Amino acid sequence: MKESRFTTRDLAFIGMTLALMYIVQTITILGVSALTPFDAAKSIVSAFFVSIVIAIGLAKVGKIGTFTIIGIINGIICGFILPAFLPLLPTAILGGLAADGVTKMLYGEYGSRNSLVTACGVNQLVMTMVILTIPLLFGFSTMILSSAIIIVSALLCGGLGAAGGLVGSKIVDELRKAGAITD
Amino acid sequence: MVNMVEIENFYYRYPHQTDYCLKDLNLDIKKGEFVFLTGKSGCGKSTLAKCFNGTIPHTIGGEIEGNITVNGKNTRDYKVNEIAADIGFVFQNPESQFFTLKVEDEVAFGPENFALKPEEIQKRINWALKEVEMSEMINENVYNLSEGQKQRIAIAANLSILPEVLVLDEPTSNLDPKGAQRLFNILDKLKDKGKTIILIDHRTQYALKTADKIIIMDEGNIINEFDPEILEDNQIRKKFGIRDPNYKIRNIKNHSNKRKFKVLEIKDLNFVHSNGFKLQDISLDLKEGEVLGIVGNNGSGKTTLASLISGLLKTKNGKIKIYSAQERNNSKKNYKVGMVLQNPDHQLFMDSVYNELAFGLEEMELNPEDIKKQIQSVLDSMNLWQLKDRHPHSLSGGEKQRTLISALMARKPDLLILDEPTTGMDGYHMDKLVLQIKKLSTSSISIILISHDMEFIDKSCDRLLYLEEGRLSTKESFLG
Amino acid sequence: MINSEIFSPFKGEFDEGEISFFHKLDPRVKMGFVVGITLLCAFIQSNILLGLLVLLVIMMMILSNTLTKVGKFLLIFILFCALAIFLTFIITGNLLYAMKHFIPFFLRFFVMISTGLLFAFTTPPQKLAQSLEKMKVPTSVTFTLSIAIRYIPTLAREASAIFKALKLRGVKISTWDFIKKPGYIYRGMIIPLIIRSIKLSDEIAIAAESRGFCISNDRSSLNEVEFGMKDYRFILLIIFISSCFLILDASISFKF
Repeated sequence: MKESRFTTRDLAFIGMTLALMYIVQTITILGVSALTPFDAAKSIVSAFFVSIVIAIGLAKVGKIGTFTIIGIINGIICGFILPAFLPLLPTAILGGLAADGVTKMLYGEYGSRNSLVTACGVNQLVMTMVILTIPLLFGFSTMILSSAIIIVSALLCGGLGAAGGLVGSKIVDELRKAGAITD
Repeated sequence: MVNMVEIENFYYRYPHQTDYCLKDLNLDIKKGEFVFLTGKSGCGKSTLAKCFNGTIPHTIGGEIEGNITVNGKNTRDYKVNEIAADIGFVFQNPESQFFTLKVEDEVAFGPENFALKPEEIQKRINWALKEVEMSEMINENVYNLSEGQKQRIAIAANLSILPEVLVLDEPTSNLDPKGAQRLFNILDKLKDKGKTIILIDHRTQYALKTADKIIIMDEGNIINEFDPEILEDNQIRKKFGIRDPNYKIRNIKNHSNKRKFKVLEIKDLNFVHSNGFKLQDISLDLKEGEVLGIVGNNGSGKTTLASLISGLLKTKNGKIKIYSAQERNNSKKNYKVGMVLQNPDHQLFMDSVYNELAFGLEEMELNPEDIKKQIQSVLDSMNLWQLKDRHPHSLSGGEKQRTLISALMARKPDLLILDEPTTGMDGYHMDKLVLQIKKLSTSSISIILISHDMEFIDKSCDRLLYLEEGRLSTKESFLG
Repeated sequence: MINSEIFSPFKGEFDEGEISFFHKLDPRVKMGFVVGITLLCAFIQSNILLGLLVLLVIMMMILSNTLTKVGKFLLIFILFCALAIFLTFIITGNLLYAMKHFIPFFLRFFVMISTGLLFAFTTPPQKLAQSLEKMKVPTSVTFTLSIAIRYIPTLAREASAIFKALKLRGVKISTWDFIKKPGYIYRGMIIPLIIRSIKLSDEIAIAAESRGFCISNDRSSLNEVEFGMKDYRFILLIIFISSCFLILDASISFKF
């Protein structure tokens, strides 16, 4: 990741995207699940809505590495601020790196509908896989959280993430029409 | 005197556009001069401001021709952060220029970027805050500041990098007359200390007294440099959409309206806001087709009162009754109050102007044919028919506002409330809005205007209501 | 609709009375503490020691005046644990089995969640960003993080203005309406919010650069915070306690 490629404008928008992610997430999952970091329902519901916002951030900035920055900062926010659950830090970073890596190999940059859908899908897939294996490191019974369940949830979240990316790319089209994004 | 800013045969074109937005500009600004730059919205003055410090072309992109030199530095050759020490920049919206939450940290942000030593930074903070008369607020959270205080902090945050030139782009748009006066006093003081000041604004009242020269722009051209007295020329003002610097509140007659229908009745209204603000003993009547202005400084309770009338806030203390035309005709119950909030960006949801008007109408149990007819007639009367397929967010500020008013008109309200509709508005667009308001009121819609823009209020209202600290007040007390 | 309490940590304010020794520690020390305790509770096998660790963390919450704030969050967690054990008990009919499978895990998570929240409720996010800057984390990360946390309350306010506008256009807003017509979120909320974000972020970038900000330049800081005695003392204390736990744990598991 060569950071010099990012302009102040890019970073300011990534920052806003993250703030927006937090707002959307909070609005979407008002109530109990917002406050229980390990609740699988939370990550499933938010996978879709958060991906919409991320996709827009990716499309506007366009550069590979964007998702990694989003991952690092989202990780810091989730790990140390709220919900202050440390394992979310590595989870978010790995998710961002994976999405950046796959997109770089397949598309070279963010912009096209497919690149957004793929990136968001991969991100959610990896994140779910990581976050669900973490309880096992802390002595959670493999009897209850079997690898089958992990894989199914990861696929489900990946799918929702991809769907979010698709909706996001639709919004990007509309923003282009509104003149809010030019490129 | 030395030239502080020199503009030479300057052209600029935004990225992805074919037309030049600034055309053949030439201008010299001398050290220590106070320059007032004005013109209609969209005349290119804010764009020009962004060229002064190299934001154009370095950050925003696009194509430039010609040269701009600031304090001897050509903006082509220096990056924005390299010119930053020579030219400070204050924007319209304080919310988007603060990076921290504490006044002290905010003023420190600039010097920190130049990697200065903490002792030096502290010295500059103390000095800059003293200049804007905010020393006692050094540990305050920016959320607790008034709009006027925020703008003064924004000035201090620029002063702390010790620039020679200070550019202010519509700094008073969100300020009430008191806050604006205070800001201009500070600018006056800075001018006396030899700073070069370039003020871009619509409020001409202060420029008449303090500016050394007036620059009028129109359609991307600089029309000319003038003496401040030009602002008193009615014809020039009309031609370039400039606000009147000498307006007075004419005696709005508060005439008894001949129309007989009462639309709104408020009696002994009391309300306590969750933040502790109180609205006390408000009573008022509004007749059909009447235009009522509610004036008062920021924090006097204008918006709270409007929110109560529109139903956004609720109270059980006192009576708010709206008598709708439908009730008089014994027909179906309908939406009675429409309210336009301050920022149009928050209020446009759909992908075309037409759909924006249709939004929410199907919930009103109208049949599709009626909806279509209704929208068409509103679009026609508001001059929006040719824009009906445009994306609302791609419109200009004035067009957005018209779209918004139309969207509420399509709901056939009996009462329309506009909250600070002239924020950052030039004279030309204000006059257009005044005409529209008159037109609506003749078609028997009652209108409440909330504003601290006295010129606008004076031109459009039949009757005025003064609010001060949550209570009804008098004209004398408000102006005194 | 938008509960301001959810965003309260982002306003960066504490009441005078709340501030304890833990509030005053350097955020870097506290971050180390969170990471250390998390690793510690992953290593420890003995339930008794995990229980002791839970008590230790609760004690720290009391000392740092955060028990009531953190307690709200923990209560939900405890209810969740109880529910999980109860359900397993219903399904398997074996309470001991349920307890055995869940207790160590829940104890560890309790410790982890509490230390995280302890950090969150005693550290303004802005301080966190500043300390990361001191830890030589790249500017692209620290600047972006600062923007994100600075503008969360701002965007929350923008969102509530949008809700108001929606209400004024006759759209009823309740959770049920959202479930019934998710299109309203898409149209009514997201589009205006994003358009605002784009505009704000452009203005922010211009404002930052015009005040001398550049990603590749070094910055200084008004508040150069150095580790104080209290920080070193805290580090020593935590290292001491952790070592005790590890040694005890090793000896307990060795016995079995």
